[in-house]
Amino acid sequence: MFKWQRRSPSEKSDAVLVQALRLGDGEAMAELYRRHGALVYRYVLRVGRDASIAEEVTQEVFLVLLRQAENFDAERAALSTWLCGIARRQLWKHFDRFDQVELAELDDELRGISTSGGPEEWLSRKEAVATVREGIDQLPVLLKEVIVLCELEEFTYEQASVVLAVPVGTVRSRLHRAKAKLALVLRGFSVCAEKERKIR
Amino acid sequence: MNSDRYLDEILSELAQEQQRIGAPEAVAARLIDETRLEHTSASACRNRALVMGLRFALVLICVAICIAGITYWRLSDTDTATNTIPVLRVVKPLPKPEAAVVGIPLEIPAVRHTQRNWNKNHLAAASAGHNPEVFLALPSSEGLPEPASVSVLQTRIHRDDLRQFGLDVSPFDQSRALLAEFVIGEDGLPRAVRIVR
Repeated sequence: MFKWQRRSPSEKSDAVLVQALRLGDGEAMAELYRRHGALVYRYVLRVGRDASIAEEVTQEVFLVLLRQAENFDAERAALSTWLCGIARRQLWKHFDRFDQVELAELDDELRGISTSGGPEEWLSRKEAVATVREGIDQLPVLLKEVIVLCELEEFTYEQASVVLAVPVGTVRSRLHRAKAKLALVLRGFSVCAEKERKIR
Repeated sequence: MNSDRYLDEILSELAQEQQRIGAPEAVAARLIDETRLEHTSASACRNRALVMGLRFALVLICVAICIAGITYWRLSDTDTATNTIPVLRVVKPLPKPEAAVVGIPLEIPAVRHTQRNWNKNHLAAASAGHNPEVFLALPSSEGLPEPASVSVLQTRIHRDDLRQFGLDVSPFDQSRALLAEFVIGEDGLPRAVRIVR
């Protein structure tokens, strides 16, 4: 009968929830965290490789949202993208504070490495997954960010460029380099697996 | 199998594994508390600012009213002194006069006592010397007809109020209040004054 029935928080858009958050609505914060908290936590966990740091940074990100909600413009970017951008900056602050990151040289030596050929036989899918997972952890931070956003969180190139504050072309370039490195890791794993099979 | 394709499959599997990771619940509770606390402190700040603003506005209004009141009082006081003869009102009935108006019989027990034989010449003689016991003729009564009956009214005035009756008052202490008695004719106009204290 009445079309203006009050909507539950789960039915409201992110922009509406952010406005409610500015007015001190705890339910709006709960709903926003429910929608985007896991994404932020996963991203920070993957790149930072520390669960306690990931929890701390996730909380900081949403506190920034609480205190600077007026800076969010729904027309410029999605809230998830905006939050990941904040998470990245908070994480880098943490890295700078504790001098944790070594900005390793990006993989110039991968030029010319062919990834078209593949091994004929794989020992274990599970082991291959574990190898790639470890390979991602070993990547330089700048490449790891791109792999996590584009491959694991399925961000588009445009969204990743907003989060990383780099052009789309840079995102593509870094993603190619990261995958080349992972392919090398996987190839090395498969080579080791082939040798092991032959020995047996 | 093409290694790129194989890598993509593995990355896809890792992505599914990634999506299974949830956000920590403890953070949610802290954030909700922080949201409410932030809003309460922000509201408190806004309320304090509003209260201070209202207080300041109230002080300004009071100051403006005081200035306006003082200005109005000063202006009205000046107007009264220069343009009108103050209305004399009975402060108290006279029990018994201690001194008599020259030319008027001594018995003046109360206000509006009917007198006869009003003699202005006697007043002129008395005004030449300073005698607080006698009434002084008012220069402002020059030209007024002699009243058939007079009354004596006692009132409080300022020294500089005597100027409007034509009397010369020194600028020293001119705002001092006096208790004076005026001789009023039947036409309501004063003829003479004496200072009681």
